[in-house]
Amino acid sequence: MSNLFKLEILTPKREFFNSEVEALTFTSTDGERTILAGHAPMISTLGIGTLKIKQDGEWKTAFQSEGFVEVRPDEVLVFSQLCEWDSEIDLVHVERIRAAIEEEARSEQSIAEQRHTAISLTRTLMRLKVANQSKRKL
Amino acid sequence: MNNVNEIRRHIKAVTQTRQITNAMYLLSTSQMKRAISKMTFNRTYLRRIRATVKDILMHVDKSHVFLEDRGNKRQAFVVVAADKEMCGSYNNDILKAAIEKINQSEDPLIMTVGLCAQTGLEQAGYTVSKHWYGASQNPFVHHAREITESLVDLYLENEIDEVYIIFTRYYSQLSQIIRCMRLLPLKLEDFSKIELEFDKPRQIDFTPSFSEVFDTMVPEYMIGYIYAALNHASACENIARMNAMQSATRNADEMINKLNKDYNAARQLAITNEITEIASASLLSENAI
Repeated sequence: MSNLFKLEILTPKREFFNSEVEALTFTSTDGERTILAGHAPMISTLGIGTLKIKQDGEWKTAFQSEGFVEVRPDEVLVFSQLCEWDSEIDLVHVERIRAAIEEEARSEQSIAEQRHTAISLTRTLMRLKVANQSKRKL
Repeated sequence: MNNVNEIRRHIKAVTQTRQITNAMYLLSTSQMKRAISKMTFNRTYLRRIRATVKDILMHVDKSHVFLEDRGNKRQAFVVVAADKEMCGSYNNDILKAAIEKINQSEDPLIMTVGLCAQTGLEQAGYTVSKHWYGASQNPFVHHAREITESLVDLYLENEIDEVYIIFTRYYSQLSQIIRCMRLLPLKLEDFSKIELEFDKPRQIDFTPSFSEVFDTMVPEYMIGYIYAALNHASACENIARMNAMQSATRNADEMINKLNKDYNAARQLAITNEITEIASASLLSENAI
């Protein structure tokens, strides 16, 4: 059996990835999971975190936002709100967003707003982390 | 003499209006192109996420809060219209369709996207409990996320039993149809038109757990759907505005043409009058000598 499987990553804005890969590591709501070829049918959640794809022996890193994963016998489908390759993340822009969110967090907010800010902040921090990690590697 | 000046002023005013409508026409054309290009991939995304959700729903035997039928008494309607006027009958059509749906409901809760939807419904005597601006002009995923969050919150707090979204769906330049779609609870019958991508019964594992998967998957699906709906609505709005502005420009052209003819005739008449006056005056003076 071939050790490759078809992986598609879709976001509302674009088709992020569509190719044959060796392995996929994603961050579920309860931790990281890795999928290899021939995995049993499964549906899993996707939290905010890092997504890694192994293709031709090399790992590629990307940022992932909430969504879900469906492992089907014929392919693996990932639906995420937002995906960005580590090289695509604009650090200056993300830092600016972070400052704006932290400013927002200081003002008076309802519970729903507080939760919203917390999620946005996690998202930006994770983006920064993904971008910084890949920088260190270079 | 006065008549000529009046017509000249009228021509100037119409020319200025024509410039505005023409500029708006060009603007809405480019906005429409942008909206349609945004929609092209989004369509594929929506089709695939719906096919996946249908596939999952077919393999589910347990119940979840997002799947339960609560007797659909209290229905929430999200009405998507434009922020601005000047787009022909676009806003009126959607308001008419929305009011029809709202009147059928026993206990409706109305939310709107776009200023025109809010003011239109309030003028018609309905209370709008929540509204969002800016989302129909140039939709972003975070708009869809905000809308989804407040809908899911209301649903989980047991304030509403069903959620519908009313928007204009784009099929082509010439065909746009108003759709009313149920977002919550998820029902297999709403997916009847969707073709499955992989049609084989199998045992599916839910990790970390069945309820956690549905807790994330359903809002995710809603964000995808609402984002698509906003994109469709924005494309339709710009098409309507483009057509309205195109016919306004055409009308202005016709009017300028007609006014130019009137102006020439009036000017001719004034000249003829003047010549007659001079001629008769000279005749008179000749006779006097």
